[in-house]
Formats: sequence, structure tokens, C-alpha cells
Amino acid sequence: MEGLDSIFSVSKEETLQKVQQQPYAKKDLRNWPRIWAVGGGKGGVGKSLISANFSWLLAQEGKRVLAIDLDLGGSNLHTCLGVNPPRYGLGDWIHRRTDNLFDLATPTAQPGLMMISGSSDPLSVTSQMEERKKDLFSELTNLPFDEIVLDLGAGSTALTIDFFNCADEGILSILPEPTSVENAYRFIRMAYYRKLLLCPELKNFMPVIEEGADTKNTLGVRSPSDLKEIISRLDPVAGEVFERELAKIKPNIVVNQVRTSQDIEIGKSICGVCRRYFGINARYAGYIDYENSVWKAVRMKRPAVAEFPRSILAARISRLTKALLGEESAIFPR
Amino acid sequence: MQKRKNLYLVLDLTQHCSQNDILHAYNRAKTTYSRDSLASYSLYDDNAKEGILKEIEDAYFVLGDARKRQAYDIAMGFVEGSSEQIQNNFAHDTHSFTKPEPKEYKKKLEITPQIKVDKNPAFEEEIQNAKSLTGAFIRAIRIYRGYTEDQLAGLCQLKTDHILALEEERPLNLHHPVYLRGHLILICEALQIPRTAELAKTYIVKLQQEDKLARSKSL
Ligand SMILES: Nc1ncnc2c1ncn2[C@@H]1O[C@H](COP(=O)(O)OP(=O)(O)O)[C@@H](O)[C@H]1O
Ligand SMILES: [Mg+2]
Repeated sequence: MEGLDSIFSVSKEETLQKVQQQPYAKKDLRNWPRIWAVGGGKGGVGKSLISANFSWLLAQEGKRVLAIDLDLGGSNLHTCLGVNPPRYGLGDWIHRRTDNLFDLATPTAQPGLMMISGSSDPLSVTSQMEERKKDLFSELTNLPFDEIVLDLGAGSTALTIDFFNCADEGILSILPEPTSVENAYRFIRMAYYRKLLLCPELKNFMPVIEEGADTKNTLGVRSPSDLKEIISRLDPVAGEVFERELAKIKPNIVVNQVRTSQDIEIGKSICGVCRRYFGINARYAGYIDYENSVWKAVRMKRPAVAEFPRSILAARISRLTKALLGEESAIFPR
Repeated sequence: MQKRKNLYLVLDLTQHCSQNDILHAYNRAKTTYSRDSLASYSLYDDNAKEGILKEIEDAYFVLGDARKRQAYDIAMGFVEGSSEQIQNNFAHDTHSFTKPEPKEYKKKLEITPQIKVDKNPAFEEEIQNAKSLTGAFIRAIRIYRGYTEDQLAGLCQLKTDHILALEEERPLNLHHPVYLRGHLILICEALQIPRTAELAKTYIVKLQQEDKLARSKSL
């Protein structure tokens, strides 16, 4: 694509060099990128806030990071990262205007961090994305990055859920309010059933799983964890497969816009409910306070960790990042 | 036999937690499944929540009390059940609360048989080779070992009523069914009856067959 080439000009080469010269800690040396997906089942819960600041901090640690805006209808990750609205984005790859995802990566002010913007023409994109999501993942794993952060769209569409399930790590942002909690559980429920439905070894149990997904089912499945019992009884081997697939669903819960100490506790409760209801192991990775610095930073079109590095918010997100990387345990007051 | 419920899971805990952890988990669980709780919003209706709260209370009834918990852990096979170990645990427990003279405490547990009984190799052999355990058998062994029911109660840190109930095979009106196995194991240890777990099971199965455990389906 000639047009695209001229847009990229020198800065792309420069950034590529910069990216490849990054000194990164030996223990993090991987020959394939680790993919993080940030979801939440609802708009405005802080998915872009987390994606932007988390990517920024990863890059500050010396990793080569790519943040991708997968909120095809409401892309604004570029704004959170302080990048002017790019003239090209994922839509160009979806419409096969370029075959190389790396062509679409734009540098940011943080060395080591690049981003791919969402589509500017969302109308036709979503259906075609569905067709190309497999390609997208295989492309991603060939890119020269250590960490790739996917900022998912709102809602629990199959497309979004599959991105979440295919990623190496899922992050789920939840606000301490009923609407957000409700949508987060809907998101987890969808992730749960999609995971099982797409497992070839459980193909014979599709009717049972689908029936179980219906809240008014006749199987006596009151919660997804009952489904495990039923399938194990029908076929113990399938029961084991079921358990194995379930063990792969382990979202990292982040409670955002925390105002009180009870709000902080909700994260732990949610993990307990996930174990009881879904039989899955969610992990409470951390929380983020409700802070004015967030919208101040948004207005300045800069990530809060870059604009207010000494704020409580920056400390929280930095703590969250360490917990997500497994470098520090997530410690909360009782 | 139906699989018994893991009470720790009810409180979202693992076995290796402190009494303090249990209290905190209990309080959190109550909040989590309360009527207007945010964390369980949209997944459980009021009815379901009520059921869960009941489970939580039942779990805390056992785990919230260090002694009941100890017995439960043994019954579930979470810890090796030996009376000595339990005595040590209790000695430690008491020590941390009331700081009694350790020697004095030990003396209390060193109970010398009151009844003098002659050695009976045939009965000894019967005990060693026992295939099943009944209340009458327990009583016979207790008397042969020379203990009164009070002494045995002291040895096992149980109430005398419990000993009598188990010897008369009318258990469980006095205590939670879940302890039955734990109590039997304690008694077997104290009376030097071998293969404690196996024998305790025969006792429970017999009572189940006689429908004496009607109120305790979960055992
Ligand atoms: N912790 C917070 N404190 C204050 N405002 C917040 C916080 N998190 C998010 N916001 C506000 O909520 C809005 C939506 O956040 P955003 O990250 O864009 O959500 P999403 O990507 O999930 O739609 C932002 O404009 C931001 O100002
Ligand atoms: Mg967003």
C-alpha cells in the first residue's frame, strides 16, 4: 500500500529500532508475545484507562509493548495514550489494505510502546472481523513484541468473548455498581459457555451445554457449576475435559472507581461468587480509586501514570501491574 | 455413601487457615450473600441466597469453634487423627489463652486406669483382629482397659454423655453428626484399638443400616 507507506515515513523505522534496542529484563525474555485482554462487559468501566496505563508501565519496565484498540465501534485508546487520531487502523488490515499488522503500529511518547488504533469505519468491520479473528491471533503471535494488550469493546458479543478467551491473560474491569456487576457476570457466563462450546472434545455434549446455558432449562442446572456434575455423570472422561477447560478461565478482577473500603472488599466477594456459581478461579488483582486525576489526565490526553506519576492512582496502577505480572502478591487490607 | 461437603469451600477457604481467617471469611460470606449485596447481584435470587446463608451458618458452627473444627478435620481426613496430637494442640491452645502450668495440664491427662483388670490374651487378640466396631465392643474394651466412662471422656476431651451415647449406639442427639467419625477415632486411639479409621467406618455403616443416622444424610 503506497498511501500507507508515505504516512509512516521515518518515525516508524526509528521506533522499530528503538523498540528492538530496548533492554529488557532477562527473566521476561520470551520468544512470543504474551497477550492480555482487557474486558468488562460494559462501556465506561475503565477498560481503556487500564489498557493505556498498564501498557505504559509495561513499556517503562523495558518491555516491548503493543496496545491494540479492539473497541471497533468506540475506539479511543489512542486518546488515552496521547496519540493523535491515526489515519489508519485495524480496519485497514480487516479490509486487507495491508497484510502486515506491524505497518499499522503507531509510536507513542513512551519508548517501547506502540499502538494500533481501532477502525474508523466501524459499520462494515465487525462482521468481517468475525471472519478474520483467527488470522488476527496468528498474526499477533508473530509480531516483535513482548506484551500485547487488547482493549476490548463493550458488551459480551461472541467476538469480544472469543478475544478474551484466546488471550493468555484476561483482565476484567468492574465498577462497584449493580449495572457493571450484572454485565460482568454476563460476560463471564458467555466466556464460560463459549469456552466449552468451542472445545472439540465436548462436541457431543453441545446440546446439554446449550440447554444448561438457558436459565429456564429443564436439566436442573441452577448454576453453571451444576453442569459439571451432570456431564461427569454422563461421561467421566468428558467430565475431566470439562474440568480442564474450566480451569483455563481465570480472569483477573480489577475493581475500578473505588470510593469506600466496602468497595474494595467487593473484589474478594466477586471471586468467591465466581467459585461458587461458575466453579472458576477468578483472581482479585487489584483496585483503582475514583480519582479526579483520571479525567484530568484524559483531558490532557495523557495516561495518568505519565501525567501524575506521584498520585495515589499511579501507585495503585503500578501495584496492579506488579500483581498482574506475578511480581508482587495482590495485598489488600482485610 | 454420598460425598461429604467441604465446609471450608462454603466459606471460600482452604483447610490451612487460621481461626482468625475463618471469622473474617464468615463475615465476608454473610455480606456477599446478603439480600442487597452487590457481589452476588443478578446471579442469585433471595431464595437461593437464604439457602446459601444457611450453609454459611452451618459451616461456621463447626469451623468457628477450634475444637469442633479439629474433630471435623480428622473426620474428613484433612489431618492425621491421633489423640496425642489433639491433646498437644489443646495444650497449646489453653496455654496461649490462660497460661496454665504445662506440667499440671499434662498431669490431668495422664489418667491411670481405675479398674484393675487382669490381662486377657484372647480378648487382646480379638481387639487386634477386630473386623467391625459396635457400641458394646467399645464398652467391653473400655472396661478391659480399666477406664470409667468419665476417664475415657477426659482422655478424649469429650463429654461423658458422648461416650455413653456412642457405647449405647444412640448417638447424635447430643452433637453434630459430622463429628461422629472424629469422636470414634479419638476413642479408638485412647483405647488402643488398631485400624481406627476403618473400624469407625463399620460403626457408622451399621448405624446407617439401622436408620439411626436418619438426621445425618450427609455422613
Ligand atoms: N478510577 C477512575 N476515576 C475517575 N474517573 C474514571 C475512573 N475510571 C474511569 N473513569 C472515567 O470513566 C470514563 C470511561 O473510562 P474508559 O476507560 O474510557 O472506559 P471504557 O474503555 O471501559 O469504556 C473515562 O472518561 C474516565 O474519565
Ligand atoms: Mg474504551
